[in-house]
Amino acid sequence: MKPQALQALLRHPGIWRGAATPSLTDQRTGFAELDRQLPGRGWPRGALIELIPSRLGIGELQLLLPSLRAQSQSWVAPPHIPYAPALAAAGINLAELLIVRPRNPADSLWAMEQILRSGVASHVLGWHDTMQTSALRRLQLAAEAGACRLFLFRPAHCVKQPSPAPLRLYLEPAENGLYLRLVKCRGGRPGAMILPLSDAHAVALHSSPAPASRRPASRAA
Amino acid sequence: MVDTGQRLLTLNAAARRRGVRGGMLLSAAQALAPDLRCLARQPHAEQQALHSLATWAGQFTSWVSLVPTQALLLEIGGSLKLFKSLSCLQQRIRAGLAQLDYQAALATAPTPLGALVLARSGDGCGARTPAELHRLLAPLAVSLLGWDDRTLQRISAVGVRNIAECAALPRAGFARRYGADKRLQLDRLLGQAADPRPAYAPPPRYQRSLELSFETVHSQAMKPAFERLFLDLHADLLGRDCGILGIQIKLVHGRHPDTAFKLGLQSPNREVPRWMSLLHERLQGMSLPAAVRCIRIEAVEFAALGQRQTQLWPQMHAEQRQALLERLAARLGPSALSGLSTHAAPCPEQAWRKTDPGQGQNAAPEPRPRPLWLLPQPAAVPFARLQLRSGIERIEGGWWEQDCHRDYYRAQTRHGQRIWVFRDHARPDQWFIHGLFG
Repeated sequence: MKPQALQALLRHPGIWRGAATPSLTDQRTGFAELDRQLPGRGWPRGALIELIPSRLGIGELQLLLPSLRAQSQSWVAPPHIPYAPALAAAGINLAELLIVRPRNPADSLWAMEQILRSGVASHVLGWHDTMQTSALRRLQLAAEAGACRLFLFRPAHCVKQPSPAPLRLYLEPAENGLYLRLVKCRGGRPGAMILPLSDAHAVALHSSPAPASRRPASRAA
Repeated sequence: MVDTGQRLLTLNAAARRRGVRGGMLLSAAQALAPDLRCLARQPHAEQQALHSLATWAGQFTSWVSLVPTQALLLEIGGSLKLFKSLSCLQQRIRAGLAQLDYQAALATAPTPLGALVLARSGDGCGARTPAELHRLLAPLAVSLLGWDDRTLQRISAVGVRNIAECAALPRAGFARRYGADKRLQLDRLLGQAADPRPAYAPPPRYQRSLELSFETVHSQAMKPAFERLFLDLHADLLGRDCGILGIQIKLVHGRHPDTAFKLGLQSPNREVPRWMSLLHERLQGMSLPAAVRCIRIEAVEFAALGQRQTQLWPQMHAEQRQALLERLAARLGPSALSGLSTHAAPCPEQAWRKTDPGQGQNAAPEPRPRPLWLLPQPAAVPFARLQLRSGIERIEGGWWEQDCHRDYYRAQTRHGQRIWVFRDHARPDQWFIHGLFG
């Protein structure tokens, strides 16, 4: 078989190859190493993406910041106050940001599904601690219907539970960045990597803090 | 249906088959059909229906006039071009009336009285020119003019049967015998005298209520009633050519106080399915104290509909977005939705503001590193657990705000959380976590 004929055959939409070529719909993550590992060379579109950080505040949001820039997005049930000055500095368009704070987990599940199905926000970020597999399945279908991405943050113990999400990432703090493990990756291979985070370049001060100028004065007083 | 004089006014086909006829006395009709179900005429409801139809008709012409208790006059000369032809316009009116469950006799004529008389004679009559009108009117009975019984008796006593003969009577004698106003009416009917009519002005408020035929607590059972009310409101808005920003709904219970709530809309609109889905979300989250007897609705604020379809994609997006916000607000409450805005203030907890959804602004860019998460209240933390990872950043707020003299550092916990900590100048030994870098 001639090489051209083979190439033409492989371009047939019915044929799917493991190490697929970059698709136009998948959005780059902003981390080249992660892009290389993902089958579509970016975050899959119309999918539920599970992020399982070992704890909050280890850099799980910074992982998403490059892909959230200038996108319409909704944050459902964030655990703390999303801090507007930091978001603005990261390039997030605050006019396109909707914060939803439902009163209970059931409402928050409903709100996520509504937003996903409406297809209005291209990205939805959700925080939910107690989610059943059936609920995850609903969210995955809603994300497909609305062609949006749902980044769902779940507590660390959920990493052992099965899930219908096509992409699941486990996150842990690392010495100079963020350790990321692909727990599940449909169409790709599981793997692990350490991603550099901007803040990790900061000078580490292991010594005790420089005393504030008023400190001796206040002691004296 | 029975009028106040105990005579039958209208009847259905089943009654007609039993030999009951219009105009019969109720007692006579009951002798023919003992199981006859009678409904009393409700003049007030009829008036209200006619008034709401007058508002609804505002979508077809700028000049609607109300003939009390009977009919609506629409000046359509100016609307023919917009609606392409008379038959098109009539079709639109008939379709609209059928949707609202009304039956009507339509007639067109060059004079208002002419149209009224033709409509009384039967549905679908139409005259485009005065000559045609004269021809159609000539054989009609004088009783169709709506004059009082005494005058009609006197006219028939002199041998006059139809309108043509009536109009042919000598003018002076006619005016002297039956009154100058009757003569004037004949002139107006035939287009020989001017017939100015007052235009109908819709009332500034819209309020309707509907008694349920049975008391219920189930939202599903109330749905048809709401649909009927919303459809009427929609018809009213079509006539006014505007939308609304909210619907005030009151559910009337027997003994308990009424349940009142408001359906808020993000933009002026008049879409019944959208209202129904909002209502559905709202009723699902409510527990009613008692069965509902009656539903009242009131249009809260009339507003012109926005200019639509200027840009295809962003506009469509905006409409979907508003529909989504309405749906979310109906179930979660309006306070659950917000946007974020930066605010120029030195004190970190003052440097952001909650806004309405979609109103957020990136006003003041902050060059120094700030955490993505802010804790609602700074949490005290022992210094031994912290590992500082940056130099000092001193933040001092103005005396007019909250007193704020703090030294901020970036730090890391033993679990690898990257946090933002400070100590207050007033209490230099106590460290607080203020945010997470996330």
